[in-house]
Amino acid sequence: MNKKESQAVLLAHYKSPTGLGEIDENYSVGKGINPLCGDEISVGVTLENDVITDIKFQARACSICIASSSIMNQLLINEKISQIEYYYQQLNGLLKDSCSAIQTEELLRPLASISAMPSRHKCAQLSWEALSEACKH
Amino acid sequence: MNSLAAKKSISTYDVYQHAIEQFSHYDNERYHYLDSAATSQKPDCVIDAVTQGYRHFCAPVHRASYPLGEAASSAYETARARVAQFINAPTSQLIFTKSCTEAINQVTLGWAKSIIKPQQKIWLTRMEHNANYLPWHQLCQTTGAELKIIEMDEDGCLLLEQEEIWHESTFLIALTHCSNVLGGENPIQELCDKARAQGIYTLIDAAQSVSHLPLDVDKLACDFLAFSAHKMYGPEGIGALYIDVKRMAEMSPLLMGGGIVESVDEQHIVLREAPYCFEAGSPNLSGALGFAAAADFLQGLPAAAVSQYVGELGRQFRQALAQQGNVTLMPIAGGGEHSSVLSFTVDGVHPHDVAQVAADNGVAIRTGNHCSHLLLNHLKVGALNRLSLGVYNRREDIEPLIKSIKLATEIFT
Repeated sequence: MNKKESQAVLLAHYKSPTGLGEIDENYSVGKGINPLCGDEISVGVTLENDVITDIKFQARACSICIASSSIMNQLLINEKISQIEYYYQQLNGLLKDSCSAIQTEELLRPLASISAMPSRHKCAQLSWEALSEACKH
Repeated sequence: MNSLAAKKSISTYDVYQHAIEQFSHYDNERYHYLDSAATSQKPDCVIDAVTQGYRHFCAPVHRASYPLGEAASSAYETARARVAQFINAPTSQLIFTKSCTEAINQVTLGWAKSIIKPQQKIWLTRMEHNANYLPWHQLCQTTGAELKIIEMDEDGCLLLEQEEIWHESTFLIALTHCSNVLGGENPIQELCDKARAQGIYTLIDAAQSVSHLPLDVDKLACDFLAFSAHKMYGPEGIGALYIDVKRMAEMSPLLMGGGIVESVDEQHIVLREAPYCFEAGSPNLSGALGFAAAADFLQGLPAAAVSQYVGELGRQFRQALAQQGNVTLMPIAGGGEHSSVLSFTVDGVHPHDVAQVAADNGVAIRTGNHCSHLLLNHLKVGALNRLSLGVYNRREDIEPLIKSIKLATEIFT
């Protein structure tokens, strides 16, 4: 997938994000703040026996953050909590080295297009950190 | 020359044409650098001065009696004199620091901390950079003094008529001359005049103004004025603090170390005279030479012409942005339309995304909170786009920015 194709996929996530919606009292909530740009995200999660049954997020954030949140949502519903760390490490590997995309889960691969922009890495990581926090509650 | 003739010669003086020759490395056909409030591009004379420092004066400052060491010390003190002269300060009342931030911390920790009393008030404006907010916040937390905020109206003008500001309980007013987010100019002369009459100390953060607004600390009669080299076309890693002579006598060094003492034994330390006692550690000679070269560079251009040029160019940017139906402009500090710094948002497009599209099109603008949390909370925004101009910018930089905004709108909305 070249850079242009990756950007098109991220834009599609941004325009129609999976999981963007109201977080009610049934969700455990984690928050993420990007001190560089002031972005804020709240991620809500519901669990059943350590399995993620739903994720919702609300954000005042940029396209990369929204797209990453949407990808996270598509990847993790019906997965065990332990998979958060598994995919998060894959995401970090991808951001450090875009060449690792080939061994990375397909849904995450478009985020390799920001690996050369370290100032945007936090945008992609923010919702993942918020989800981890939510699961601790 | 009468004033009308002087005004005419300044208005016809071509700042850009005179300045751009000094930026031989800056490709302004392909690149549009609109982030001078973060750091300015460096003219050849500054780059040369820094290089010359390492090439011809590479020896310790104030520490060696051999000829090269004496030459280094002399060059360093000459640089101090040139930077001091740039703001019309006596040479002995200007200390070099590593940054404007360190200069302000020198005031909070080296002076205010030992003399401020609990319940005394420190007033800052809503538009301070964190460099002029966090040190005072911390000082108030540790001393029991009270931090107060001077509010602004919707046009960006400070509300200086509040009686409480001028109350006898006010210890100090610390404010920015030119906001790093709203640009413009705050009325520091009026403020310093009034403060002095009331026995209130003043600190001016001139980090953003020193590149284009004339500064005269003798006329201003402030107690402290802080600025850095890298925002006025000089090198990174060096700043300066002007200190009123009476305040200097009350001040202690922020850092202890080599080069600041006359004598030391197990019981006593005798400090050297100012300014040397405030510069512990090996001085940044090449930085000082670059700093002085930047001052010379700016003094080679008529001060009023630089201010007029970047202000008028800012007005033209503002006009072009205002013509876009989806751009919201932030006010200019002090009101008016002329400013070398402008902040804005684009409806429906996150500032990070605007800046990214601009970057992809060769336009460098800033995004984020600009280390100005107090102001952004007040404006109820999480992030802003900011453009800021230098003498190497010109009208031709406007169109690429507008094109980037249109493209970002097309992509993201």
